[in-house]
Amino acid sequence: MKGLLSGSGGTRGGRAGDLLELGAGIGIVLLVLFIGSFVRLRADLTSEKRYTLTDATREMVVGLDDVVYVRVYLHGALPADLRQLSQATRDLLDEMRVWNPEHIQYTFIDPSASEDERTRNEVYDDLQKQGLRYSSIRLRDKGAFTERIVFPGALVTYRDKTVPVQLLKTQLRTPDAEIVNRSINNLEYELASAFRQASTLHKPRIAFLEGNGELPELYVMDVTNALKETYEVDRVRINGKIDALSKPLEGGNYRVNSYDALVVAKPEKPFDGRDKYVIDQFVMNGGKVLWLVDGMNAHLDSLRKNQFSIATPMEHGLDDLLFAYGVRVNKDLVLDKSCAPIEIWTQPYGNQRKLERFPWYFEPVSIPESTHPIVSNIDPVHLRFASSLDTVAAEGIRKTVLLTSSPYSRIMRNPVRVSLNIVEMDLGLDRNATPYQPFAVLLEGAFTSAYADRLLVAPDTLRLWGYREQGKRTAQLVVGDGEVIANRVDHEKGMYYMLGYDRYANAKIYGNREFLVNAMNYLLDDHSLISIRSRAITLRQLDPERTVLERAYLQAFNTAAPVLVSVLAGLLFHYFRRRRYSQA
Amino acid sequence: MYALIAKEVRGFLGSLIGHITVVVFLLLTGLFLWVFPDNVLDRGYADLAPLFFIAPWVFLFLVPAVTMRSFSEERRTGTIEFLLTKPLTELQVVGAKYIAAVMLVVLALLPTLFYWYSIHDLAVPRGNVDVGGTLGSYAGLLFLGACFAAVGIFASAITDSQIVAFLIAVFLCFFLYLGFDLIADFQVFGALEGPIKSIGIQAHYMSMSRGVIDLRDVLYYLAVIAIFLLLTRTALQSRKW
Repeated sequence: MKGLLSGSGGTRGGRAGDLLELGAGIGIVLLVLFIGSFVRLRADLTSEKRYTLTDATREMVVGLDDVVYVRVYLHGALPADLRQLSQATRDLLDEMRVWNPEHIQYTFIDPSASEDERTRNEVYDDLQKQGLRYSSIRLRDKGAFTERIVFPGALVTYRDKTVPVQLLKTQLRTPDAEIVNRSINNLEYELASAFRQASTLHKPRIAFLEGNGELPELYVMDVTNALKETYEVDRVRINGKIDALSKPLEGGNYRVNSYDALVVAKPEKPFDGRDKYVIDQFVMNGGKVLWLVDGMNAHLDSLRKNQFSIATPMEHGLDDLLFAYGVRVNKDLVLDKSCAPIEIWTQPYGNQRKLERFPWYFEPVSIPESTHPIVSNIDPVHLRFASSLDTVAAEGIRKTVLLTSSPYSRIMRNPVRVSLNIVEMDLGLDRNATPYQPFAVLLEGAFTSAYADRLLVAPDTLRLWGYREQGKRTAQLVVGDGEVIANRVDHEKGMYYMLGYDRYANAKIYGNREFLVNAMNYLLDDHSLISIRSRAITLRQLDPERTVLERAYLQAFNTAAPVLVSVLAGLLFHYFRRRRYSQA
Repeated sequence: MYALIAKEVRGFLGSLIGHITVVVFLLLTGLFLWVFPDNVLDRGYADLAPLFFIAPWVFLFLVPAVTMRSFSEERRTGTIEFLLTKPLTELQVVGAKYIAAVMLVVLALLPTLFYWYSIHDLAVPRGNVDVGGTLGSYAGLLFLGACFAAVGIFASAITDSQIVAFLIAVFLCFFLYLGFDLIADFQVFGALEGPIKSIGIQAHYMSMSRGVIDLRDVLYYLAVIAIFLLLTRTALQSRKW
């Protein structure tokens, strides 16, 4: 060791000594490395603490009192992206194991491990029965492409309950890096919610309202199934029955809700006054409501027949309820430049018909900008004939706008002429733009009854009703579009498409399902889950308009500026050096 | 020691080749990041991920170009004897040359802050970028540059030709960065795949460029740097064997 610090003047040491010092030095370095490998110390600098377990997850993991067994099927020969996802899953499980090594066990299984095709297919069938979805991907193997079945999912087992987890959030055959990245961001949420599902007993109950022209079950099937993973889901008609949504308390003056949440999906017929009263009291008793309500009826049947229609206000009669709770669904339609495409037959040359795509302003695609947990980290939400919302004063209610139109949107007030010709129309945004119109508003607080100043029922029956004028703390979400929850339906085959599926992309590209499921989780107060979600990673985007408009300038600036600065610095350096030496 | 560091930095900045190196580096990253297909504008996300993705590859050439002169030039002109009879130990000389090289790498990186400014300006809403994550990524990049610089210094100490030093450094850096991954991809290792990969720089670089600074990654980088500087010192001592 002495030699390390001794001067080089002496020839002490010689070859053997020098080599010995080298060996000793490297030895010390390796020793430090070895000791350091046992220290877990990391600083997560990302603003969302992206790579650190949230407190909620940690608490849940620590609180497990029995073994959770996770079988991950993302294993074997995989393309790089999926390998990354598999690795991230392993990292996450390891991270969880740190907090509760006894109760978390996992194994990675290659579903295609068997040489024998029959056995493989049996394994595939079994996994599908358990609720995992497969995708067929193309894999490059020694220059040739081979098709391969992968199950990008896992099964979480707790005691005797098994819950499937989909790790990859897409149906595309070649998942791109972005989707994989987003799936990685969502891993913690997915696994944590599966852990919770497997280890909780009571499920909150949700009712879809029927009887006022709401969407039939087949049209909301996709969301229904997604909700059924966590909740009990029913369909309910009020029909003037007092007990439709709640039960009277034995000997009490009040009533208790029989459901935790209500979904009102695109009602088209006027509500009976009594039914509205029942809903109002459901809210007063702490029930949560998801209102998916159109302001306008676009009369699509006549649009199909005549190529145009006149949209008129939707007569559902819910306006006074919503107004009392703090929101007004306006009698207008929002036309948005950020929208879904439509394909129309055109005849550009003579009689040659051709399918062309145009922006269909009536179907806004809302890109969530809010960091609220309901909308953070979800794909854009696809709306059809949506109306703008206004918040109105309501005592003690906190209002949060979750979705808005783009800056390039415009309101058309009732009555609106809906015509396919709009595709050739100029929106007139430079004159009439109304940017950022609210599409979805979350209301939280203790609501005041819409019937506070006007009793609907005879005072002597009030007891039977268990009437409350001032409600318990609860939450409601209002969306100015009923179609937001509607999945496409193929009537001939009697089947439905995924919600968010897009015909033109032939894939699920919209985040409607996630939006609604998150909303439900939030309304039903699954706080721990929500806090994990809210940490979910926001995809920070660049301004799409500017990247197109200023493209050339940006490219020139960013390529040239650093180079110019360094050249300039070099010249200055030379100049000063020359001056110094010429003076000397 | 300070005088020596200053002399090294000045020497590099005073040479035309140094300037050309930095300019080429900036041109390459600029083009990759903003002009060539699949660039930042096409991706549409407000982060500099592509910079951290391509930087290792550009560093592979930039850093050896910065370090190739440091000892080989002294060896060629014979000034190395003079340098080593100064009242500095070999380790101090190596350290000074090394620090100068790292400073030059940092200098070359500085202009990339323009990219940061552009992203910051273009994000919706304005300024919506992950500052911490980017800092972490930059830290990873600096560590990577520091590793490559140590390798480059070593390569420069074992030959008296700049070109040879450059080529050896490029090869060694490449091998350190990716070689172990390529080896691990052979099917024969099975369970050893993970450990073998973690000898290489890439695994550590990737984990740091996510924006997470893990003590184990930092120690790994420091270890690589220390080992190569020790090797450099031994290479210098070997003149007298």
